[in-house]
Amino acid sequence: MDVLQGTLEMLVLRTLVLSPLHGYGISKAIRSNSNDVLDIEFGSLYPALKRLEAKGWVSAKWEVSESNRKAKYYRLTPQGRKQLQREHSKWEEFVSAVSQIMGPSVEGAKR
Amino acid sequence: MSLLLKLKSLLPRRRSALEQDMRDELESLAALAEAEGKRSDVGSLTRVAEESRTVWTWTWVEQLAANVRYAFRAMKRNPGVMFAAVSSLALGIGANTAIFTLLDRVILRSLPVKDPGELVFFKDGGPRAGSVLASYDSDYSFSDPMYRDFRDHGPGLAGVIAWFATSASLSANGHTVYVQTNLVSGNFFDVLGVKTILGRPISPADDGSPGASPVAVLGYSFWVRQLGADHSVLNQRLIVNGQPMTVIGVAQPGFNGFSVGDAPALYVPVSMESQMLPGRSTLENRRSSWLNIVGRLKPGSTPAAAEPALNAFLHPILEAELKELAASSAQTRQRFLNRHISLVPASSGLSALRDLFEVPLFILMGLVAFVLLIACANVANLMLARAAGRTREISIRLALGAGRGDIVRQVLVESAMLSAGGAVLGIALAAWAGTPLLSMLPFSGVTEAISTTPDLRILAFTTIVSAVCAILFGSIPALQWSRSDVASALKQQTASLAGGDVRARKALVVVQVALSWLLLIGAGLFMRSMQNFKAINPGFRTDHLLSFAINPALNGYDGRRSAALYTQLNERMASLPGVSAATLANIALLSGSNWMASVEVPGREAKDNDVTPDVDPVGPGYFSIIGTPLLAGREFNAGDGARAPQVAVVNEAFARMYFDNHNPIGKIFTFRGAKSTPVEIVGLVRDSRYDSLMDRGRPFIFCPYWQRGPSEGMTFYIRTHESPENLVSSIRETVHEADPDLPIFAVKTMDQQIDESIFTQRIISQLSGFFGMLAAALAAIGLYGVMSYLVNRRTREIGIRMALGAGRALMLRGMLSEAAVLIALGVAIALPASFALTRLARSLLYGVDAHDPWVIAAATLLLGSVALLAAYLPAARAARVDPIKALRQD
Repeated sequence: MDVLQGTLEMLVLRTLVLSPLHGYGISKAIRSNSNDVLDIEFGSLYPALKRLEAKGWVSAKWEVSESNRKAKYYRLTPQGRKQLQREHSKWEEFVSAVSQIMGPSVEGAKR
Repeated sequence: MSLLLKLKSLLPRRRSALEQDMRDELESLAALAEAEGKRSDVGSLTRVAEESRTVWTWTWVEQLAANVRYAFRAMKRNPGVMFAAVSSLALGIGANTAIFTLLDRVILRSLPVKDPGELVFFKDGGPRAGSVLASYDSDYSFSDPMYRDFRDHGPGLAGVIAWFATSASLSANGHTVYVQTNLVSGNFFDVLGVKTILGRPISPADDGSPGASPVAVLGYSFWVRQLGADHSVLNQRLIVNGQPMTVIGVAQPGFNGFSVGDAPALYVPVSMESQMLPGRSTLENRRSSWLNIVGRLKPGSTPAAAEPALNAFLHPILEAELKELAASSAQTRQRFLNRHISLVPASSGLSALRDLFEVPLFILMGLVAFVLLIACANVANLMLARAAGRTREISIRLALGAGRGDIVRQVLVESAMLSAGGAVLGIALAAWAGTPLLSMLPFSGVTEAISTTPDLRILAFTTIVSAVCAILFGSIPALQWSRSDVASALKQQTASLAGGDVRARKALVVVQVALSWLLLIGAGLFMRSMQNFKAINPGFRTDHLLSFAINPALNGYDGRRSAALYTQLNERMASLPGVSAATLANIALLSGSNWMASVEVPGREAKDNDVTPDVDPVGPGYFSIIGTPLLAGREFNAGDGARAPQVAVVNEAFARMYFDNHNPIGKIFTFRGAKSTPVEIVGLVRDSRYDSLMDRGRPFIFCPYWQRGPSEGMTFYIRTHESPENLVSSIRETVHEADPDLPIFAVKTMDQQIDESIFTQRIISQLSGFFGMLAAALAAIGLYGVMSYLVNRRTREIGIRMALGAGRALMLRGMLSEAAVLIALGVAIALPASFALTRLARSLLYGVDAHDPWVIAAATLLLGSVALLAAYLPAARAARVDPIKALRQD
């Protein structure tokens, strides 16, 4: 499933609330947390990480991974946490607005 | 934050660190993914890196940098093409910058004063009662009392100032020089908002009772050049016209009064009139018009809005002044009362230089614009030629996914770079040529008054011009490139674009031919006029004639002492070795100066179309020494003493106008006004050209200078045995012996004087000839390029035709006739345009019709032969094609 750019950034921020992760780890976490529904292409994820870093919402540091390899780990900054809260409430507003319109699923609607 | 990051990433070190870090990270991630056996997850790392980079870079800056790098590489491969393009642009842009600099400094630029747009000249067509002394144009001359009326009570203006430009002799540091000065009203500096960089400006208190304020403000350029910017000059005394004057200040740099092209050395209060203009004392005289008046409009007002109130104010003044005109006819009195002041914008000053050069400068500007257009067409042609060679490369780029926009941007970047190169060289060229060009103008001191150093205004002009050029010559190949068909170009073995490319190049050549033909027509017309000027017989012998001028009144000589000095100097000049005879005259020949006075002939009714004659006080033997034939009567002789009855020699035009062509010898006339002493005509001379080579049939009266004193100095004429230049130093010595403080000026031979008098025509004919040849050469290069290209393209076809039996002559004829069609098309387009354009230049043409068939024929022949020669070289190559080789090719 495709994910819009703004939504992708929100997902990345949300994923990093739990623990710092490297780029590959973020991609894996999003996939498993969404029961394999959201498969983020690395080509979209990585530029999004760079954008978040440029905005100062995440910070990155070279660390050693569990499999004993060097990798760059991203963690949420305090500004990133605030941003996530803002995005979250906006997201909830949006979802409830859309679900009010959509209601329960309509079967075989005809004109 | 984001901007800061982007700015920081422009630093190369910071940039490479970021790149390295990203590379490391991507590699580490790839390794992680691989460890889990999921290579595909990481995707194309290059593309990921590319996209991530946009976070810290401006994409367009990156792309532009890539375009520039690429353009440089392409240019390095073709240095010859690049050199041809940049140098033809440099010539075109340089010529435009140089001429624009002159146009701007002489005509367009506003004076460096406060709110120049509010300044207006007073202009009044007259008639004026009494005498007029005009430093510019008598329509701008007013009496001092009338000036003060306007200054003190004139309605609707924020300030009214007056000034008068005149020369003076100035002694400083023990030597005497002849300088430009301005007499200025007390409020001059204040109303103009002009400051002094040293001391104080002239104030209203300095413009009080006549002769009471011997103070002067120095002009900045005079202070720097002549006095070495010496600060101690303040409060020192200078000797001006033999009178001491105290320096009270130095005017701000760049300010040179209202007369563009002059650089006054001194500004002196109007109250010092008698000291600055020896022999005059007219400050209370309403019958003496001389001061130029400038008003400052109230903010937001316009000349049209201010005029009615000023004229209503003027009317009662005129009625009061009318009493002095009691003797005149009712008609003249009525015209005097109907005088009307109009306000003329003064923001860019007033100048004889401008009046003379306005039309020529605009014509030159047009000529150089044409040259630049031709140069642009050449560069477009060169770029098309290069585009043809790059078709495959471009097609590959398009096939690999480059947008047409990318291709167009690449071409425009390349043309902008060529254009920028041309602009830089062009500005250097213009700066280098500026001062020599300016010093060609026959105005002394003009290089001090007018700077040709390019400033921001000039640079802005050049930038805009070169940007327009880049778009002009860049858009044609850009269009061609972006239209090219990928598939067919890739399939083609020979590198060439579709036929549209050839059509575009041919069209460019036609335009070049048309433009350069127009330039050659212009040049031909100006050269013909110049020849006609040179062929004019001025009515006197111009060879072996040297002249110089002195003005002893400026050194405190009165009329009697001046006359004695003239006589003494004239005798000494005549006895110099190498001199055959010497004489002198008040009006310098062909110098544009004149002095007129109305006359009455007893028993003759004045006519409306009477032309007021010029009066020229001259020395003994004037006509025989100058070489003007005496038709009847005699020259002045010893019998015509200062106290003897007054005598005159007149010319044919005078006899025709005032004596109906009858023999005037022995007839009497009187000068109007003053004491009307009868003057007897004793001689008649043939008409000659006085004011300029152009004038014809002007009535002239010659008097002995010892009977009728000259107004402003005298010009000596020395007829020599040897080359007149050799005598300059002995003449200077002779004057120096007579009075070491007397400045001598305008030393020149008659040939120089003639050259100066037709300077405008000369410079136009020389420069238009130069630009015409340049244009023809550029057009020929363009044609050569296109023909060579055609020959290369058709080598195979030519080979086949020759193999089938077509002769070499046939091939040559075919190629040449193709070129001839282009040339003929160009001329056919230009012909109607020439009729419209030459009309603009008509005022500068002399004795040649704007549609002169000879000029048209010569221009066509010249351009045709140059162009055909350019076409012949490649055509001959086509005729030499070896069919076997041509067929084997590709």
